[in-house]
Amino acid sequence: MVKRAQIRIQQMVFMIVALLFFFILVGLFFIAYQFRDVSQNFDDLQREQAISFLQVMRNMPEFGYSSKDSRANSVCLDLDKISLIAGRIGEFSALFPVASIKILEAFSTKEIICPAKDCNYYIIYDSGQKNIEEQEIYTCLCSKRSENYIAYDKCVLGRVIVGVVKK
Amino acid sequence: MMPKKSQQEIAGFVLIVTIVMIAGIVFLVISARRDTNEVSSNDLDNFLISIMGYTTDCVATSAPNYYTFSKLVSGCYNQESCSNLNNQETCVHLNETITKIIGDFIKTRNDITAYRFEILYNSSTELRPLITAIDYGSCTKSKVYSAQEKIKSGDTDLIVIIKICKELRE
Repeated sequence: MVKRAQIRIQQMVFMIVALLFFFILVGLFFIAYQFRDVSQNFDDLQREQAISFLQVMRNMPEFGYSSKDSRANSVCLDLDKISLIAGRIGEFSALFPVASIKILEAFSTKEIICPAKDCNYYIIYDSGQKNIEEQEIYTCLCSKRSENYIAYDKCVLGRVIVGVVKK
Repeated sequence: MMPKKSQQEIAGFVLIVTIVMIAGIVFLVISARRDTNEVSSNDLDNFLISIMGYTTDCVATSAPNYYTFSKLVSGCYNQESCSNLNNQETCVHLNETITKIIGDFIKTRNDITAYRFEILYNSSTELRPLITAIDYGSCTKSKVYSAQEKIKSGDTDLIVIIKICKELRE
């Protein structure tokens, strides 16, 4: 009688352990599935952070473009101001919550650092930190040009490269 | 013959396993469906808005009256031509410009496996394509991101849509 009861208890323990293992496996599978996108989401979040910084830059009078075209006003950066301000941020660097800001005219075959002739790569600010991850965001870079003695807005595509310290 | 009690235990175990399996399958189906949906992307929105302000090489009437990309789309809808490019049709120039821009864009993003660019306009009841959609690559095992911009041309709304496929990391 006692032996039979022991066997029943053993059976029950075996079943409970088996069920426990089963649920652990299901749980692990579920967690692995849920965390599959975490790395991708982390990248996306960093990019979102860089984009919100770009919005801040666009609204700063030091970078924003003013023209009669309202679309260019709200989304573009002023290339003339950028070329003047590049590398001269100095003591105002505390205003920027990022490790570096570089602006590159998109689709240029060769990167020429400004100031130089036909340059297209503006280093606005670089804290010199090594442990950074760079995020690129597209924007339009506008400048005033003239042709036939008439001024017009010339906007090209550009990439703002924002460096964020790795955590 | 097996005792009745053990039969009940086995039946109970089978029932539990079946319930868990059904729950698992339901969860997998819901997750798989969620992955194929398009998601809007601020990054892509930003890219599309920037393209709209881009100054093209096409001159409307006389230099320096260059079309911006958004004006070129309106020009294409109104069947205008570029006065400086041997009267090239604006739609042809639009096609060339956007192919170059997106081609260069995906060169800088190696996780993009495919893209689709299209411009639609509303014709009384339905949306019709203004130009032939530009497609590249195939979209499998990827997340689809999309963005769209509306341009007004008179009473007509022109809708510029871009979709990209980003490869999912394992």
